[in-house]
Amino acid sequence: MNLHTSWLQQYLDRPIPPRELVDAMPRAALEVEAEEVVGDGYQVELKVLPNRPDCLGVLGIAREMAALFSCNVIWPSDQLPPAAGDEKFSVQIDEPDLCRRFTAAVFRGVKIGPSPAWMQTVLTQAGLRPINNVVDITNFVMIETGQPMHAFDLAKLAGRKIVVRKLRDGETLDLLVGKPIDSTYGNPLCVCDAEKPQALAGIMGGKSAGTEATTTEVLLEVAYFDPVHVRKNVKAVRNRQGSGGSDSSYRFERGVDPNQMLDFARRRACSLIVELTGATLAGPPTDVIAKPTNPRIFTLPAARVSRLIGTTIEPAVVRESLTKLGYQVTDNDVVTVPTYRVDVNDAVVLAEDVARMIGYDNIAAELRPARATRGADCKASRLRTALNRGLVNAGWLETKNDPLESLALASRWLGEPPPALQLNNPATAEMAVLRRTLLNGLLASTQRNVFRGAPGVRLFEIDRTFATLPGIWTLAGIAGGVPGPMNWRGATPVDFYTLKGTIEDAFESAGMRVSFLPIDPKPGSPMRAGASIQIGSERVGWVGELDSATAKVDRAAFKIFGFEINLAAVEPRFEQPVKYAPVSRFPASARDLAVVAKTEITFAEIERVVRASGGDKLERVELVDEFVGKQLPTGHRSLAIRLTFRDPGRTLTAEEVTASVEAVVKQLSAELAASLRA
Amino acid sequence: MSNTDELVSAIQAAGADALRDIAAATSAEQLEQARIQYLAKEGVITKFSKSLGTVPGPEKKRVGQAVNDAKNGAQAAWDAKKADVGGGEKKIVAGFDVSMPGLRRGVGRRHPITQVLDEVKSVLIGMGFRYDDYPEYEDEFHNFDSLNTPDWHPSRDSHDSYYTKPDAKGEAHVLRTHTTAFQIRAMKAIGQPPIRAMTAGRCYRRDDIDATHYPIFNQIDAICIDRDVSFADLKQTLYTLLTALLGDDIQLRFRPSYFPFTTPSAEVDVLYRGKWMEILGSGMMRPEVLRNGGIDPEQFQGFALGMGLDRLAMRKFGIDDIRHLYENDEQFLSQF
Repeated sequence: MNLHTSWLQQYLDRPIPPRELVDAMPRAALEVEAEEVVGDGYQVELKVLPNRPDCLGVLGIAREMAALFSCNVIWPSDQLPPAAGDEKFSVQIDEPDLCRRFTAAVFRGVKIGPSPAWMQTVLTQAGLRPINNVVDITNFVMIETGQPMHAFDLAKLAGRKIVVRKLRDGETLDLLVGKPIDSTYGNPLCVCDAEKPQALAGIMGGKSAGTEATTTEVLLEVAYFDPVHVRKNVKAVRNRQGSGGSDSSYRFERGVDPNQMLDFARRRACSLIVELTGATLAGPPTDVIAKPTNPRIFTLPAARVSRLIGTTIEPAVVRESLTKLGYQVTDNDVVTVPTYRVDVNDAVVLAEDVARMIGYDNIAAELRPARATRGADCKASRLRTALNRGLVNAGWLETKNDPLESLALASRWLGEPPPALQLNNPATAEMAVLRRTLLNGLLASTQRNVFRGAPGVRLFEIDRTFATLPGIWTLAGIAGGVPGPMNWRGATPVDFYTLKGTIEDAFESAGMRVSFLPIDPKPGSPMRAGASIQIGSERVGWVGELDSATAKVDRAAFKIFGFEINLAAVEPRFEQPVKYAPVSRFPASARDLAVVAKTEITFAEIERVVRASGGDKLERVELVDEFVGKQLPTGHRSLAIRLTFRDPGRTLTAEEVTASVEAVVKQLSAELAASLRA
Repeated sequence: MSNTDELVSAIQAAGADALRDIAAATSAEQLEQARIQYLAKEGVITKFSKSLGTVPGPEKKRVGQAVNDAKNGAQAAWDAKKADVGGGEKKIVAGFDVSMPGLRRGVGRRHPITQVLDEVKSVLIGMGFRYDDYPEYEDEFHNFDSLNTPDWHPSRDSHDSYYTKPDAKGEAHVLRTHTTAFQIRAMKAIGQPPIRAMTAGRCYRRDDIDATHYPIFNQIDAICIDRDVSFADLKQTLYTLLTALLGDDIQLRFRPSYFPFTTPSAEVDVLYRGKWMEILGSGMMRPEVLRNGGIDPEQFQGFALGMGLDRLAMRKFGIDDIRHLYENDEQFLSQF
């Protein structure tokens, strides 16, 4: 709703500086979207809160302002002009639930012409285009009162009769704007003459009975239509035709007042038509109330308001605040709600009105004694935080990628997504399916960074994926190249082992140990080669080199590695109690062995044999180095392994350590045909 | 005034001159000039120490102290300044070049939205709120109906919300349009008041993408329910939360607003770095909503608040385009 403050001021009995009016608007359910100094006041663009259609007319806004500034509303003249005859006009309402009230007034001797300049100014300021005096009066009274109305050229109506009924199968209605409406629009409520529909009720008039330059007889409709039904019809038109609705339907959809304001509006419009078009009223207007609208009544003791607001509010303040806004309040706190306040469906709304009148900013902020509760973060969230910190400490960057992706991306590794993951109404094809892996987004971010010249990446994301509904927390990452600061002593690109180490560190920092088992990736999987990530016997994810054919990163001069972990599977292993293990005060003895074995013998096998044969003093088995070269027999490699021995109760002698090492060497030879490097 | 007094003040004056010239030096050359003038063998201050021999015995100590003070002060200023103007002598100290870069692993960063979320969470957890995850793949009951949002409400339009195709059971879902969708689930999960609960996460609205709009965004929502939890408590909670997030020098403004699930409703603006910005929506929970959560609105009342994290992160870090938050450019991410 757009208006100029000088127009609003005309309805107030005390002059209020325009600036103060604008500043008070937010307290009156009005959001000031834009303001501009024009002449002696402000031209403002207001967003009326959707629950307050009573403020879709300047009188409603004036009512709020009068309450806030403790003055009165000046109601303009609404004297119903005397009727020239006693002509009756018939109105029949077939759908009392959809049209509670319909009033009709007949005018003769109408001279169509331009409306007066003052009216055109107000309409223009409100963003409405002046058309002719009759149409302008209906629009003017609408923005003055919030009550929409419609003027028909009476000569074009058949049977001198109005029937308010649903559009029948086979009927069509050609509207002033847009394509014709028929019963496929859901049999919307129409205002009809004796033969056919002439207007889509509350939304728009038809082409055939509109006023034009030659019109001399006018039928003025001022009615109440059901908000839900009007909204449904507007939606139907909008869905079919791309646009729909009008200033009228905007108000009907939100709810107009079928009583006091409707009455005022029709009298006001009648008096203006007679005054400005030279017409006379043909007879007393017809007023059919198919279903009365009774005011709502609530009891609101001041104690209830005080309890809700959290500060003592005297009964007199409650009564005064509500009375100013047009409520009737009895001494025993019974409040009658004016029917223009369609939003008041519970006593709490009355409390809100009292709070608004006091001013939200005048209510003291105060934490009052309340029962304590224990603040806590849930375990799943603590796990995410712990792993997030673990990766960040390793130099990784946390990303946030789109959870919606294209059907093609969603399908590339996991096949077509089930319908439950596909949006019924995607805005774009790029954002149409809920993701089942974080990899696509991470790859897109990797690609973006590579295009922008990054020599390497270390990116991760922790978020929900939707392979299992309603979603499962997932951690994934992508690394490759030489990310981070340059190491001038020898920059080594990310490879499988650095990524594996990062994952181990991150989990260890979160109090968990992970292990890895080799897996053979299935064809079509994003991974070319890699391992499963295990916690104990539970498989929680995978890590490996990505397949450069399917997980393609253009212009990347390095191999791309990735991992993905199901955090729901990790969660039960998180936050296991830590048990202290005794610490030996005696020194450890370390021996290095260069073990030459066939290349296909894994480190895990060697480690297993070493541990099994090293005796109970063997504390650690560590890989120090891997060597492959011509000095070794073909198909062999040398693994330098450090064995660390320790006894909790004494210092081990050199002889004891040597004996243990010899046992290890013997067993390596026996089980794995491994020898020591000469 | 004795000769000694004059000598001491001359020394002090020379010291002051030296400090002034050193401070004024803007290049390595000028700084070297100052060193030669005051501190070198033939420098003004050095000369005073040579003249020490002519000072009578009992006064020697006082004059010597003055010379030392002037010399040490000037030298310290010169050393400090040298690092500033740079370009001093290049030195290999004890076999290593300290100017060569340290060997760094590099510093990772949490996403700015995660950082802001963690701050909000820690403040609210400190006030007794518990954080839990709630679904973003929601149903219409939790996202709309239970929150007093009737089926004709415009926010339910497929123009504004994303709906999925029906699943195997024939049920279509809505991607939550606000974290407020957690309210009924939280009340049902936690049981009877006192309740202080919150959640956070991703929400979806069918928006076009531009500098200030993204169809996917992050929110935090919290509810607090007990016998007499009031609007005053809401205000105090918001003061505590927002001053913790944005600093003590902010101002708040509460504006009446409309949400189907709260009455009274308040939009909160914060004056931050000289500009008012809309930061969150809040209000007293509707009786219908409490009832839907299995809580008797005659006995209990509560407040609710919901805040967008993207905008908050943007304001806090001065980010001018929301799309940066989801592009994941390392140049962007490594700033926070």
